Amino acid sequence: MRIISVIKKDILEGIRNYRFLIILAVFAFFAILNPVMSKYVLPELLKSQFQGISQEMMSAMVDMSQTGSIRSYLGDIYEMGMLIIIFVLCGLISSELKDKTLIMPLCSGKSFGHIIISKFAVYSSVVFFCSIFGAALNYIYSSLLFSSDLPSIVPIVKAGVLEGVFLIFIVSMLILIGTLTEKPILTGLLTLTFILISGFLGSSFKQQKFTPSGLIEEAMKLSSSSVFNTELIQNVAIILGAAIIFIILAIMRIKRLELTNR
Amino acid sequence: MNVLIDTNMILALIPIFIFQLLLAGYCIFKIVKDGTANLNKLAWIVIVLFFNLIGPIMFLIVGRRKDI
Repeated sequence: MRIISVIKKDILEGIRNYRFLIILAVFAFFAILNPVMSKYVLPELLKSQFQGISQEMMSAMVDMSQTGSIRSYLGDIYEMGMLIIIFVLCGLISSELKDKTLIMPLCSGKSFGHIIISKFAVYSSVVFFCSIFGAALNYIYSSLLFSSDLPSIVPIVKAGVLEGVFLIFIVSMLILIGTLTEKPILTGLLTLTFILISGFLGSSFKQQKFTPSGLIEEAMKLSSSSVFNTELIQNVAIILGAAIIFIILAIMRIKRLELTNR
Repeated sequence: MNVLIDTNMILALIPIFIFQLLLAGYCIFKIVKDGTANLNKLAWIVIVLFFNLIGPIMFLIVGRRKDI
């Protein structure tokens, strides 16, 4: 059970480096901020910018409902949240390779596979559960400020799960690119570029079901009717499959690296 | 002049205020107790206080002393 000790080490490291705290803070911040922005700040800003604007006109410009607030939260996590998470986790493997600290677990008998799988398991679980927690917190807080217009919590849990799968893909990509570049900032920039380009291509060619951003689009629909929709299952399977392939490639790549050269 | 802030808005902003206060308070405690890297203490305190969310995150990633 050597992998258990590597997982314990990664959990302690995540707490010590404040990575868990930062990820949780990002989700909690946007989950609480968005309902307030949609309910009070945006309408007041519009009123001050466009004097004498009617209520109908304002409703057409900003969706001032619980659904609109949750959509705005999901959009913020896709834009700002993803950016912060990428730059918090970009050094996940690349900084260890850069600082030559990966040699320590290897010397104590851990394999490359254990090291990579443990990092992936720990940080994937954290982003996945934080994503569901953030969506639930946003739902609860927006229910307090708006009249509830969602029939149940199912669309929220679904949105949280889809966003979690999207972030799992990002973690796997950061690990793979980290083993290729061995430079944290470059890893972050390349991952971000890939996500943005794939999102742009997916929406340009109407092929979102093959891209990670397709999951966010589906999450933002907030529909409870299509939980077991074939296209959605296909999209999730493609993204999780790609994440597993990235992890296998990362293990293959790291085995070929010379970890002690200076 | 338009009144941009009303009581309901202030009440709704209380959780964000508490959240920001806790995060900034913890970061300032770390700055004072453990010292900083890359910038001096005063600069980090200003960043933590005046940049919502991003300031504390920046401090925890790049401003924290890692050699203690």
